[in-house]
Amino acid sequence: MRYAARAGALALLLTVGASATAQAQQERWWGFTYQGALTSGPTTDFIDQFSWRNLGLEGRKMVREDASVGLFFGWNVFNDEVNATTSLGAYDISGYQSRFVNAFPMLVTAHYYPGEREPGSPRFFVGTGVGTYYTETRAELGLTSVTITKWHFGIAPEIGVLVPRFGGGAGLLSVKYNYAFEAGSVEHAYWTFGVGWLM
Amino acid sequence: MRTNGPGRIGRSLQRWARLGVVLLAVGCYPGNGPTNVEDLDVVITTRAPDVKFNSYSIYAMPDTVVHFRPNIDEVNDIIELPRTYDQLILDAVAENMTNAGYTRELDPESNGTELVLLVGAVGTKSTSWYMGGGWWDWWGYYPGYPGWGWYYPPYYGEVTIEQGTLVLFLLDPQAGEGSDAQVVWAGAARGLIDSNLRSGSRITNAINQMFKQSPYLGSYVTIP
Repeated sequence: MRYAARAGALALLLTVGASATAQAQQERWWGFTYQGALTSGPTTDFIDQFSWRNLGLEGRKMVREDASVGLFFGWNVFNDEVNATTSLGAYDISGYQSRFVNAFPMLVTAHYYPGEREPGSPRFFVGTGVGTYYTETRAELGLTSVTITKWHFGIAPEIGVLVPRFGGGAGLLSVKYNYAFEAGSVEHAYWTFGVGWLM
Repeated sequence: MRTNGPGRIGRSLQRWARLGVVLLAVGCYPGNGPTNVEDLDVVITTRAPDVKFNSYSIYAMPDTVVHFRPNIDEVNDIIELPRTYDQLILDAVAENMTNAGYTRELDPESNGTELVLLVGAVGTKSTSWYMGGGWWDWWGYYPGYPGWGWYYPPYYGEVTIEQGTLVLFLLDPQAGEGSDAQVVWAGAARGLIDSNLRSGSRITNAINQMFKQSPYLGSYVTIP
Protein backbone atom coordinates (compact mmCIF):
# COMPACT_ATOMS: atom_id res chain seq x y z
CA MET A 1 0.00 0.00 0.00
CA ARG A 2 2.87 2.34 0.81
CA TYR A 3 4.40 1.73 -2.58
CA ALA A 4 1.09 2.25 -4.33
CA ALA A 5 0.54 5.51 -2.57
CA ARG A 6 3.99 6.77 -3.46
CA ALA A 7 3.75 5.57 -7.08
CA GLY A 8 0.38 7.24 -7.44
CA ALA A 9 1.69 10.45 -6.04
CA LEU A 10 4.72 10.39 -8.31
CA ALA A 11 2.76 9.53 -11.40
CA LEU A 12 -0.12 11.87 -10.86
CA LEU A 13 1.49 14.81 -9.18
CA LEU A 14 5.03 14.72 -10.50
CA THR A 15 6.37 15.16 -7.01
CA VAL A 16 9.73 13.73 -6.01
CA GLY A 17 11.29 12.21 -2.95
CA ALA A 18 8.14 11.00 -1.33
CA SER A 19 8.32 8.42 1.35
CA ALA A 20 4.82 7.81 2.48
CA THR A 21 5.45 5.90 5.61
CA ALA A 22 2.95 7.59 7.80
CA GLN A 23 0.24 10.14 7.61
CA ALA A 24 -0.74 12.41 10.41
CA GLN A 25 -4.41 12.77 11.04
CA GLN A 26 -4.59 16.14 9.40
CA GLU A 27 -7.76 18.08 10.09
CA ARG A 28 -7.35 21.11 7.88
CA TRP A 29 -6.25 21.28 4.26
CA TRP A 30 -5.70 24.06 1.86
CA GLY A 31 -3.93 24.35 -1.44
CA PHE A 32 -3.98 24.97 -5.16
CA THR A 33 -5.11 22.98 -8.12
CA TYR A 34 -4.10 23.39 -11.71
CA GLN A 35 -6.89 22.36 -14.00
CA GLY A 36 -7.62 21.45 -17.55
CA ALA A 37 -11.18 22.24 -18.55
CA LEU A 38 -13.61 21.24 -21.27
CA THR A 39 -16.71 23.21 -22.12
CA SER A 40 -20.02 21.39 -21.94
CA GLY A 41 -23.72 21.90 -22.51
CA PRO A 42 -24.75 25.48 -23.24
CA THR A 43 -21.19 26.78 -23.32
CA THR A 44 -20.29 24.64 -26.32
CA ASP A 45 -22.63 26.74 -28.46
CA PHE A 46 -20.27 29.63 -27.83
CA ILE A 47 -16.92 27.93 -27.24
CA ASP A 48 -16.27 24.27 -27.93
CA GLN A 49 -12.67 23.94 -26.75
CA PHE A 50 -10.42 22.42 -24.14
CA SER A 51 -8.69 24.97 -21.94
CA TRP A 52 -5.35 24.79 -20.14
CA ARG A 53 -5.84 28.09 -18.31
CA ASN A 54 -7.52 27.22 -15.05
CA LEU A 55 -6.64 27.56 -11.41
CA GLY A 56 -8.30 26.61 -8.16
CA LEU A 57 -7.72 27.53 -4.54
CA GLU A 58 -9.48 25.53 -1.88
CA GLY A 59 -9.57 24.73 1.78
CA ARG A 60 -11.17 21.80 3.60
CA LYS A 61 -11.85 21.12 7.25
CA MET A 62 -12.55 17.60 8.43
CA VAL A 63 -15.76 17.60 10.45
CA ARG A 64 -15.81 13.84 10.83
CA GLU A 65 -13.48 10.98 10.08
CA ASP A 66 -15.07 10.71 6.66
CA ALA A 67 -16.40 14.17 5.85
CA SER A 68 -15.14 17.69 5.28
CA VAL A 69 -16.54 21.10 4.50
CA GLY A 70 -14.67 23.92 2.87
CA LEU A 71 -14.40 26.70 0.35
CA PHE A 72 -13.33 26.75 -3.27
CA PHE A 73 -12.32 29.67 -5.47
CA GLY A 74 -11.43 29.22 -9.11
CA TRP A 75 -10.59 30.96 -12.32
CA ASN A 76 -11.39 29.31 -15.62
CA VAL A 77 -10.55 30.83 -18.98
CA PHE A 78 -11.93 29.60 -22.28
CA ASN A 79 -11.36 31.05 -25.70
CA ASP A 80 -12.07 30.25 -29.31
CA GLU A 81 -11.64 31.93 -32.65
CA VAL A 82 -14.12 31.28 -35.41
CA ASN A 83 -15.02 32.70 -38.78
CA ALA A 84 -18.72 32.09 -38.82
CA THR A 85 -22.20 33.53 -39.22
CA THR A 86 -24.14 34.26 -36.07
CA SER A 87 -27.87 34.99 -36.01
CA LEU A 88 -29.11 37.55 -33.54
CA GLY A 89 -32.83 38.00 -33.96
CA ALA A 90 -33.48 39.32 -37.44
CA TYR A 91 -29.79 39.99 -38.03
CA ASP A 92 -27.19 37.65 -39.47
CA ILE A 93 -23.62 38.67 -38.72
CA SER A 94 -20.50 37.22 -40.32
CA GLY A 95 -16.86 37.73 -39.58
CA TYR A 96 -13.85 36.61 -37.67
CA GLN A 97 -14.81 36.32 -34.03
CA SER A 98 -12.68 35.96 -30.93
CA ARG A 99 -14.75 34.53 -28.11
CA PHE A 100 -13.88 34.38 -24.43
CA VAL A 101 -15.43 33.11 -21.23
CA ASN A 102 -13.87 33.89 -17.87
CA ALA A 103 -15.58 32.10 -14.99
CA PHE A 104 -14.85 32.60 -11.32
CA PRO A 105 -16.53 29.97 -9.13
CA MET A 106 -16.87 30.80 -5.43
CA LEU A 107 -18.27 27.75 -3.71
CA VAL A 108 -18.97 26.21 -0.33
CA THR A 109 -17.94 22.59 -0.55
CA ALA A 110 -18.72 19.34 1.21
CA HIS A 111 -16.88 16.07 0.63
CA TYR A 112 -17.39 12.52 1.78
CA TYR A 113 -14.48 10.06 2.04
CA PRO A 114 -15.70 6.47 2.01
CA GLY A 115 -13.68 3.70 3.55
CA GLU A 116 -11.22 3.49 6.40
CA ARG A 117 -8.84 6.33 7.09
CA GLU A 118 -5.51 4.55 6.99
CA PRO A 119 -2.29 6.50 7.33
CA GLY A 120 -0.54 6.97 4.04
CA SER A 121 -3.30 5.51 1.94
CA PRO A 122 -5.08 7.31 -0.89
CA ARG A 123 -8.53 8.52 0.03
CA PHE A 124 -11.18 8.70 -2.61
CA PHE A 125 -13.88 11.27 -2.21
CA VAL A 126 -17.13 12.50 -3.66
CA GLY A 127 -18.54 15.91 -3.01
CA THR A 128 -20.11 19.01 -4.34
CA GLY A 129 -19.73 22.72 -4.31
CA VAL A 130 -22.63 25.14 -4.09
CA GLY A 131 -22.37 28.86 -4.51
CA THR A 132 -21.97 31.51 -7.10
CA TYR A 133 -20.19 31.86 -10.42
CA TYR A 134 -19.15 35.24 -11.75
CA THR A 135 -18.83 34.95 -15.51
CA GLU A 136 -17.65 37.29 -18.20
CA THR A 137 -18.70 36.31 -21.70
CA ARG A 138 -17.07 38.34 -24.44
CA ALA A 139 -17.17 38.33 -28.23
CA GLU A 140 -14.95 40.44 -30.44
CA LEU A 141 -16.08 40.98 -34.01
CA GLY A 142 -14.18 43.30 -36.30
CA LEU A 143 -13.38 46.39 -34.27
CA THR A 144 -16.36 45.84 -32.00
CA SER A 145 -16.65 43.82 -28.82
CA VAL A 146 -19.55 42.79 -26.65
CA THR A 147 -19.05 41.78 -23.02
CA ILE A 148 -21.73 40.33 -20.76
CA THR A 149 -21.05 39.82 -17.07
CA LYS A 150 -23.36 37.80 -14.84
CA TRP A 151 -23.61 36.34 -11.37
CA HIS A 152 -25.01 32.82 -11.40
CA PHE A 153 -26.11 30.33 -8.84
CA GLY A 154 -24.04 27.24 -9.46
CA ILE A 155 -23.18 23.74 -8.38
CA ALA A 156 -20.10 21.62 -8.90
CA PRO A 157 -20.30 17.89 -8.15
CA GLU A 158 -16.87 16.34 -7.89
CA ILE A 159 -15.05 13.06 -7.49
CA GLY A 160 -11.39 12.62 -6.79
CA VAL A 161 -8.63 11.17 -4.70
CA LEU A 162 -6.24 12.53 -2.08
CA VAL A 163 -2.81 10.96 -1.98
CA PRO A 164 -1.23 11.80 1.38
CA ARG A 165 2.49 12.27 1.89
CA PHE A 166 4.51 11.90 5.02
CA GLY A 167 4.92 15.10 6.95
CA GLY A 168 1.55 16.49 5.99
CA GLY A 169 -0.02 17.46 2.76
CA ALA A 170 -1.56 15.43 0.01
CA GLY A 171 -1.72 15.34 -3.72
CA LEU A 172 -5.11 15.88 -5.21
CA LEU A 173 -6.63 14.56 -8.41
CA SER A 174 -10.22 15.43 -9.19
CA VAL A 175 -12.87 15.68 -11.86
CA LYS A 176 -15.55 18.29 -11.39
CA TYR A 177 -18.61 19.30 -13.37
CA ASN A 178 -19.34 22.99 -13.06
CA TYR A 179 -22.82 24.27 -13.82
CA ALA A 180 -23.61 27.96 -13.64
CA PHE A 181 -27.37 28.23 -13.90
CA GLU A 182 -29.04 30.66 -16.28
CA ALA A 183 -28.78 34.31 -15.38
CA GLY A 184 -30.20 36.77 -17.87
CA SER A 185 -30.19 34.23 -20.73
CA VAL A 186 -26.56 33.31 -20.02
CA GLU A 187 -25.63 29.93 -18.60
CA HIS A 188 -22.37 28.02 -18.64
CA ALA A 189 -21.20 24.49 -17.98
CA TYR A 190 -17.79 22.86 -18.12
CA TRP A 191 -15.71 19.99 -16.79
CA THR A 192 -12.50 20.59 -14.90
CA PHE A 193 -9.74 18.06 -14.39
CA GLY A 194 -7.60 19.14 -11.49
CA VAL A 195 -4.17 18.20 -10.26
CA GLY A 196 -3.08 19.88 -7.08
CA TRP A 197 -1.46 19.92 -3.73
CA LEU A 198 -3.19 20.36 -0.39
CA MET A 199 -1.25 21.19 2.77
CA MET B 1 12.61 8.22 8.04
CA ARG B 2 12.67 11.21 5.75
CA THR B 3 10.68 14.26 6.47
CA ASN B 4 9.53 17.19 4.40
CA GLY B 5 11.04 20.32 5.77
CA PRO B 6 9.56 23.74 5.37
CA GLY B 7 12.07 24.44 2.57
CA ARG B 8 10.46 21.90 0.34
CA ILE B 9 6.99 23.24 1.03
CA GLY B 10 8.27 26.72 0.41
CA ARG B 11 9.71 25.71 -2.93
CA SER B 12 6.43 24.03 -3.80
CA LEU B 13 4.56 27.21 -3.02
CA GLN B 14 7.01 29.18 -5.13
CA ARG B 15 6.41 26.88 -8.06
CA TRP B 16 2.67 27.36 -7.76
CA ALA B 17 3.14 31.08 -7.45
CA ARG B 18 5.24 31.17 -10.61
CA LEU B 19 2.60 29.18 -12.45
CA GLY B 20 -0.03 31.61 -11.26
CA VAL B 21 2.00 34.57 -12.45
CA VAL B 22 2.44 33.00 -15.88
CA LEU B 23 -1.28 32.35 -16.18
CA LEU B 24 -2.09 35.85 -15.04
CA ALA B 25 0.34 37.20 -17.60
CA VAL B 26 -1.48 35.57 -20.48
CA GLY B 27 -4.56 37.30 -19.13
CA CYS B 28 -8.24 36.88 -19.48
CA TYR B 29 -8.19 37.11 -23.27
CA PRO B 30 -5.73 34.62 -24.69
CA GLY B 31 -5.52 33.68 -28.34
CA ASN B 32 -3.92 34.91 -31.50
CA GLY B 33 -6.56 37.41 -32.54
CA PRO B 34 -6.92 38.78 -36.05
CA THR B 35 -3.76 38.56 -38.12
CA ASN B 36 -4.91 40.08 -41.41
CA VAL B 37 -6.85 43.21 -42.19
CA GLU B 38 -9.61 41.12 -43.75
CA ASP B 39 -10.04 39.30 -40.43
CA LEU B 40 -11.70 42.50 -39.20
CA ASP B 41 -14.26 42.58 -42.01
CA VAL B 42 -17.83 42.23 -40.78
CA VAL B 43 -20.94 41.48 -42.84
CA ILE B 44 -24.44 42.08 -41.49
CA THR B 45 -27.76 41.38 -43.18
CA THR B 46 -31.33 41.72 -42.06
CA ARG B 47 -34.76 41.28 -43.56
CA ALA B 48 -38.27 42.50 -43.03
CA PRO B 49 -40.50 39.86 -41.45
CA ASP B 50 -43.17 38.08 -43.45
CA VAL B 51 -41.83 39.18 -46.83
CA LYS B 52 -42.06 36.49 -49.51
CA PHE B 53 -39.00 37.09 -51.61
CA ASN B 54 -40.08 34.61 -54.26
CA SER B 55 -43.04 36.84 -55.04
CA TYR B 56 -40.62 39.23 -56.75
CA SER B 57 -38.75 38.63 -59.95
CA ILE B 58 -37.82 42.08 -61.34
CA TYR B 59 -35.51 44.62 -59.79
CA ALA B 60 -33.88 47.87 -60.82
CA MET B 61 -30.56 49.20 -59.66
CA PRO B 62 -29.05 52.61 -60.40
CA ASP B 63 -25.67 52.39 -62.07
CA THR B 64 -24.09 54.48 -59.34
CA VAL B 65 -22.77 53.80 -55.89
CA VAL B 66 -23.98 56.62 -53.66
CA HIS B 67 -21.18 57.93 -51.47
CA PHE B 68 -22.81 59.13 -48.26
CA ARG B 69 -21.59 61.94 -46.10
CA PRO B 70 -23.69 61.49 -42.96
CA ASN B 71 -23.17 63.67 -39.93
CA ILE B 72 -22.59 60.82 -37.50
CA ASP B 73 -20.58 62.17 -34.55
CA GLU B 74 -17.60 64.28 -33.59
CA VAL B 75 -15.18 61.45 -33.04
CA ASN B 76 -15.36 60.06 -36.52
CA ASP B 77 -14.53 62.11 -39.59
CA ILE B 78 -16.04 61.36 -42.93
CA ILE B 79 -13.45 60.64 -45.56
CA GLU B 80 -13.74 60.57 -49.30
CA LEU B 81 -13.76 57.08 -50.70
CA PRO B 82 -12.21 56.48 -54.10
CA ARG B 83 -14.55 55.40 -56.87
CA THR B 84 -12.04 52.81 -57.99
CA TYR B 85 -14.24 49.94 -56.90
CA ASP B 86 -17.70 51.32 -57.74
CA GLN B 87 -18.12 49.31 -60.93
CA LEU B 88 -16.75 46.18 -59.27
CA ILE B 89 -19.34 46.62 -56.51
CA LEU B 90 -22.23 47.07 -58.94
CA ASP B 91 -21.14 44.10 -61.03
CA ALA B 92 -20.82 41.84 -57.97
CA VAL B 93 -24.25 42.86 -56.70
CA ALA B 94 -25.86 42.34 -60.09
CA GLU B 95 -24.25 38.93 -60.47
CA ASN B 96 -25.53 37.81 -57.07
CA MET B 97 -29.03 39.08 -57.85
CA THR B 98 -28.98 37.18 -61.14
CA ASN B 99 -27.81 34.04 -59.36
CA ALA B 100 -30.70 34.49 -56.93
CA GLY B 101 -33.10 34.47 -59.87
CA TYR B 102 -33.97 38.14 -60.19
CA THR B 103 -34.01 39.94 -63.54
CA ARG B 104 -32.63 43.44 -63.73
CA GLU B 105 -34.87 46.04 -65.36
CA LEU B 106 -32.68 48.59 -67.08
CA ASP B 107 -35.51 51.04 -67.88
CA PRO B 108 -37.68 51.12 -64.77
CA GLU B 109 -39.12 54.54 -65.59
CA SER B 110 -40.83 53.13 -68.66
CA ASN B 111 -41.40 49.52 -67.63
CA GLY B 112 -41.69 49.74 -63.87
CA THR B 113 -40.11 47.36 -61.37
CA GLU B 114 -41.00 45.29 -58.36
CA LEU B 115 -37.87 45.98 -56.36
CA VAL B 116 -35.27 48.72 -56.22
CA LEU B 117 -31.76 47.96 -55.07
CA LEU B 118 -29.71 50.91 -53.82
CA VAL B 119 -25.99 50.70 -53.20
CA GLY B 120 -24.11 53.14 -51.01
CA ALA B 121 -20.77 53.55 -49.31
CA VAL B 122 -19.29 55.70 -46.59
CA GLY B 123 -15.79 56.12 -45.25
CA THR B 124 -14.91 57.18 -41.70
CA LYS B 125 -11.70 58.04 -39.91
CA SER B 126 -11.13 58.00 -36.17
CA THR B 127 -7.94 59.12 -34.46
CA SER B 128 -6.63 58.21 -31.03
CA TRP B 129 -3.63 59.69 -29.20
CA TYR B 130 -1.33 57.95 -26.79
CA MET B 131 1.66 59.08 -24.73
CA GLY B 132 4.00 57.74 -22.08
CA GLY B 133 7.56 57.80 -20.76
CA GLY B 134 9.29 58.86 -17.54
CA TRP B 135 11.18 57.14 -14.78
CA TRP B 136 11.02 53.39 -14.56
CA ASP B 137 12.12 52.48 -11.07
CA TRP B 138 14.25 49.37 -10.85
CA TRP B 139 14.80 49.65 -7.12
CA GLY B 140 14.37 46.20 -5.71
CA TYR B 141 15.69 44.48 -8.76
CA TYR B 142 19.16 46.01 -8.48
CA PRO B 143 19.54 46.69 -4.77
CA GLY B 144 23.05 48.12 -5.20
CA TYR B 145 21.61 51.28 -6.73
CA PRO B 146 18.75 52.41 -4.51
CA GLY B 147 16.71 55.19 -5.94
CA TRP B 148 18.22 55.02 -9.38
CA GLY B 149 16.40 53.87 -12.43
CA TRP B 150 16.27 54.10 -16.15
CA TYR B 151 14.82 57.14 -17.78
CA TYR B 152 12.75 56.96 -20.88
CA PRO B 153 11.97 60.20 -22.67
CA PRO B 154 8.33 61.08 -23.16
CA TYR B 155 6.79 59.78 -26.32
CA TYR B 156 3.51 60.26 -28.05
CA GLY B 157 1.80 59.15 -31.17
CA GLU B 158 -1.49 58.73 -32.86
CA VAL B 159 -3.44 55.86 -34.27
CA THR B 160 -5.75 56.55 -37.16
CA ILE B 161 -8.31 54.00 -38.18
CA GLU B 162 -10.00 54.37 -41.54
CA GLN B 163 -13.00 52.21 -42.21
CA GLY B 164 -15.21 51.75 -45.21
CA THR B 165 -18.80 50.64 -45.06
CA LEU B 166 -20.79 49.30 -47.99
CA VAL B 167 -24.57 49.19 -47.68
CA LEU B 168 -27.23 47.61 -49.85
CA PHE B 169 -30.94 48.39 -49.48
CA LEU B 170 -33.56 46.35 -51.28
CA LEU B 171 -36.81 48.30 -51.46
CA ASP B 172 -40.37 47.45 -52.41
CA PRO B 173 -41.76 50.72 -53.82
CA GLN B 174 -45.33 49.37 -53.75
CA ALA B 175 -45.15 48.50 -50.06
CA GLY B 176 -44.42 50.86 -47.23
CA GLU B 177 -46.39 53.75 -45.86
CA GLY B 178 -47.11 56.96 -47.69
CA SER B 179 -44.36 57.87 -50.09
CA ASP B 180 -41.79 55.76 -48.27
CA ALA B 181 -40.81 52.49 -49.86
CA GLN B 182 -40.43 49.51 -47.57
CA VAL B 183 -36.95 48.16 -47.03
CA VAL B 184 -37.40 44.41 -47.37
CA TRP B 185 -33.73 43.49 -47.07
CA ALA B 186 -30.52 45.25 -46.17
CA GLY B 187 -26.90 44.27 -46.11
CA ALA B 188 -23.84 46.04 -44.79
CA ALA B 189 -20.15 45.26 -44.87
CA ARG B 190 -17.55 47.13 -42.88
CA GLY B 191 -13.80 46.82 -42.83
CA LEU B 192 -10.54 48.64 -42.52
CA ILE B 193 -9.46 50.52 -45.59
CA ASP B 194 -6.13 49.37 -46.91
CA SER B 195 -4.19 50.51 -49.92
CA ASN B 196 -3.15 47.19 -51.34
CA LEU B 197 -4.66 45.19 -54.12
CA ARG B 198 -6.70 42.95 -51.83
CA SER B 199 -9.46 45.52 -51.44
CA GLY B 200 -11.20 44.34 -54.61
CA SER B 201 -11.38 40.74 -53.48
CA ARG B 202 -12.41 41.76 -49.98
CA ILE B 203 -15.31 43.79 -51.38
CA THR B 204 -16.39 40.97 -53.68
CA ASN B 205 -16.17 38.44 -50.86
CA ALA B 206 -18.24 40.69 -48.60
CA ILE B 207 -20.99 41.08 -51.22
CA ASN B 208 -21.00 37.36 -51.89
CA GLN B 209 -21.26 36.74 -48.14
CA MET B 210 -24.29 39.05 -47.89
CA PHE B 211 -26.17 36.84 -50.31
CA LYS B 212 -24.76 33.59 -48.98
CA GLN B 213 -26.09 34.29 -45.49
CA SER B 214 -29.47 35.32 -46.95
CA PRO B 215 -30.60 32.07 -48.57
CA TYR B 216 -34.23 33.21 -48.39
CA LEU B 217 -33.37 35.90 -50.93
CA GLY B 218 -34.32 34.65 -54.36
CA SER B 219 -37.15 34.18 -56.75
CA TYR B 220 -36.39 30.45 -56.82
CA VAL B 221 -36.91 29.99 -53.10
CA THR B 222 -39.95 27.92 -52.26
CA ILE B 223 -41.91 29.23 -49.31
CA PRO B 224 -43.45 26.32 -47.41
